[in-house]
Amino acid sequence: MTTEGQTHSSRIGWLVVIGVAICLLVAPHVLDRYPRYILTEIIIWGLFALGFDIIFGKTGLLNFGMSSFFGLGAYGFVFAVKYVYPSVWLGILSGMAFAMVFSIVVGWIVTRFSSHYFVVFTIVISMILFLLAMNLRSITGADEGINIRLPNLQVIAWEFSLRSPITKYYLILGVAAVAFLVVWLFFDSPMGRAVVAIRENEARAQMIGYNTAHLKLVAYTLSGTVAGLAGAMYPLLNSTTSAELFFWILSGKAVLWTVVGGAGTLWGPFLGAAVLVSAEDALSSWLVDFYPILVGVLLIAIILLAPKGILGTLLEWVADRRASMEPGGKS
Amino acid sequence: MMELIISQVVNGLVWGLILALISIGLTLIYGQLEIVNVAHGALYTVGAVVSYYAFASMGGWVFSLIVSPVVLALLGLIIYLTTIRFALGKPPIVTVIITYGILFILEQTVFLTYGGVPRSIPNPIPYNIPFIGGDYPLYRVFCAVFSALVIFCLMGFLKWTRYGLWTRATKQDYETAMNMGIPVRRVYAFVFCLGSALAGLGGALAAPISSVTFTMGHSIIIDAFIVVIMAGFGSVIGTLVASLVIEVVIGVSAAFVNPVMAKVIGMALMVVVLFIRPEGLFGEE
Amino acid sequence: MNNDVVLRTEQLSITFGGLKALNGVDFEIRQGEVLAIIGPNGAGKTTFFNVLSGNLRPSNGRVIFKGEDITALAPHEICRRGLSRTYQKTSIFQDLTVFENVRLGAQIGHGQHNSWLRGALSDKAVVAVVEELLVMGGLDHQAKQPAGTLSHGDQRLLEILIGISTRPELLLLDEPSAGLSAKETREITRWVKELSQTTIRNVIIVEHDMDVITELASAIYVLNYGEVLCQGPVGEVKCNPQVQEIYLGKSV
Repeated sequence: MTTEGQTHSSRIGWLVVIGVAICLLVAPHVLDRYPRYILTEIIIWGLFALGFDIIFGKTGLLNFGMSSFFGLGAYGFVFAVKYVYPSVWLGILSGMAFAMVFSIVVGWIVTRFSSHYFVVFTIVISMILFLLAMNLRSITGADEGINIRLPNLQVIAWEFSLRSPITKYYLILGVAAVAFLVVWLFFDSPMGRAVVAIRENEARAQMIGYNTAHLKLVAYTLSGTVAGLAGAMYPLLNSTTSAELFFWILSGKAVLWTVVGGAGTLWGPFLGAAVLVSAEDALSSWLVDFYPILVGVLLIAIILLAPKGILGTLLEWVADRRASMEPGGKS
Repeated sequence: MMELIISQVVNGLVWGLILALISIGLTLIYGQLEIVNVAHGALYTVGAVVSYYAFASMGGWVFSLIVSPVVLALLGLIIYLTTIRFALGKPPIVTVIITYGILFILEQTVFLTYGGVPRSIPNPIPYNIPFIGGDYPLYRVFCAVFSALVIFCLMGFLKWTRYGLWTRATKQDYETAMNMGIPVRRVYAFVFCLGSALAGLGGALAAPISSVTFTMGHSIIIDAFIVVIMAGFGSVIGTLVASLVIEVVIGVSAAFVNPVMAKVIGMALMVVVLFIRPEGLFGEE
Repeated sequence: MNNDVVLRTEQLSITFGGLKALNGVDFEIRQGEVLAIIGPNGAGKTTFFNVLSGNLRPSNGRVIFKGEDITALAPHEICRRGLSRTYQKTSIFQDLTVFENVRLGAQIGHGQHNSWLRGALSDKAVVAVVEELLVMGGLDHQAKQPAGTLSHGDQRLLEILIGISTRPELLLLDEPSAGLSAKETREITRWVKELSQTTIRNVIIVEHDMDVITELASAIYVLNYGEVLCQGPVGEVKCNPQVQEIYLGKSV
């Protein structure tokens, strides 16, 4: 592994990151209203899928019920803003809190079970939550949902009206960026590495001294809270929420975006969301009927042919090239 | 009140037996191929839809009882050959995602062909039998009896026939089975088809009772998962018992609380059982 | 030399559905000792290790480690108290690099594992420890390679490195020479010997290879059908006729 080759690759990596960051910062001024809206949505969905990547890509637990966290985050935001106090920050915190509490309670139960039971459990819980949300019409408004009026954003001394989609975009981008940074740092920390060890070899991780049950709960909670945060962004963008956000198909989309983008990379979910949400939007109206079928086919194709997703396969290719450039190289 | 409870219990038993068909299919597929078949509910839906078309075109509902499982077995074979067999031996995510994809494809296809409007099949046995304080639909009694019969035959099949033996042998010890010359791949395909057929049969039986719509699989799959987890993956008898228990519990609860809460109670029961015995009531792992 | 008892078991028994895998095993290892456990396949050697490391609960008996009853503790709790083990079937973190493998244990050794955000200073200390371990094991040149790409012999070495990365007081080695060639076995034996004389002074080894045992251990316990058949200094046990009979044909 030549240090030169390494620095070269990481330099390219940094360039890409900076390039993307610049594009994201400039985008809302360059794009028309509708593409800007789609981009904002992509950021939210990317953050949501990041929640999945935490529990699946990094911890190795297949949680097929991510929609629960998203819905709870959305309703947490709406309830706080509508019934408690019209503050955006309160709404965000409330959304995260709803999701976090749910994650801790459910996570405590669910992380005790082995992989197959775990998957089914998460599916069952998420379906039941959906049924509950649709049923408790007086609380949730079911599929019609609840509408709110967005309060102004208070940042220290300044007040911003959230009527402008550009302001909303920057707020959501900022929140997502901070969340991403926190997650990234977490997995660069000793605790984060321990979580990844669970994915690799749980029994051995225990025998080195890691309390894997505890760590799994931490990862599960982090995953749920991030997804809840994404959920809180939804009413922030659309001034509305609905019980449909609990629908299990949304959970499947988180899986799809992450797997397509590249599980375990933390960037992958955003990439996958960008690719697929744009594609879904670009499909002409008659194709929309076929979209779920296309999604199904794509899921199957990706998992069988390119299981590491776009980013994962790319990184693997880079690593292989690096290895083969080594003198006396092994591939 | 007492009558209500008794009738809920009886309904629970009827649904429990129908559910048992579906759940047994699910647990067989898992026990044999280690696959959590997320698309199982969609197979049930297809079974119901097929029986609707069979009934609508041929008029004979008995005919649809035969056609559904056969069509589903075929569908299961297609699914197995095109996707599942490439996933054997790979980590669980692969098959879960594959079956998830199949779920999307199946449900949307049903939606596009059959439409989004729920329709029903008229009661094929429109007679009632006198029951405590009222009448009870004979058709439901038929469903219960028929399901019990199928399950009985299935258990006999697994115990005494050649393919049944092969199924059990492969489940016990894959390598030894291969070395003994058992066509393991074929057994896998067979089990998947069998599981699909059972789900389809359940759908065909349920079609006259509940309305046929492309989302009908959602509710039943929750129950099926609850049952299979509670019974422990892999046990046929255990699944039958758990099925009856769960449906009776949910049915009786539904007399007092709203139907969704009744399902939550069912799920709570499953959690309690799992805490006492993490491998399920009859689980073998 | 301190003659404190590091670990002892009292009447350890475990039954698996009718089969008594361990039956009343009394075992003791003192400070500075390297003990070996031998026995035919199925004698209960790995089961014994599994009980010690907390993976199995015995049906009877106790395990006392450094004066504390650890019988009912979870594996990670036992490890935190200074008992570490390796596996006969290599159990490493395949997709992580060699460096990352060893770091997982080293960061526990520094009590750092619960920190969320990386402390720049303490991270340097951990890195130093890892590099030291890698050099000791001769794997420093392969530090950046995924562990799964190492040769079998190097993986066995890594297996042990991970085991000692938490700086345990007692190390359980489960057939360290499993699957190794004669040359590799000699190398690893030499390495473990040096280890036992410097850093990890208390070792229990399960082994089939008598040469390895003779080289490393001072005393042997012989297990047969879950019971301690005999125990004692290596030379004595080797000459025991019952032991020779069990190992008929093996180089004793």
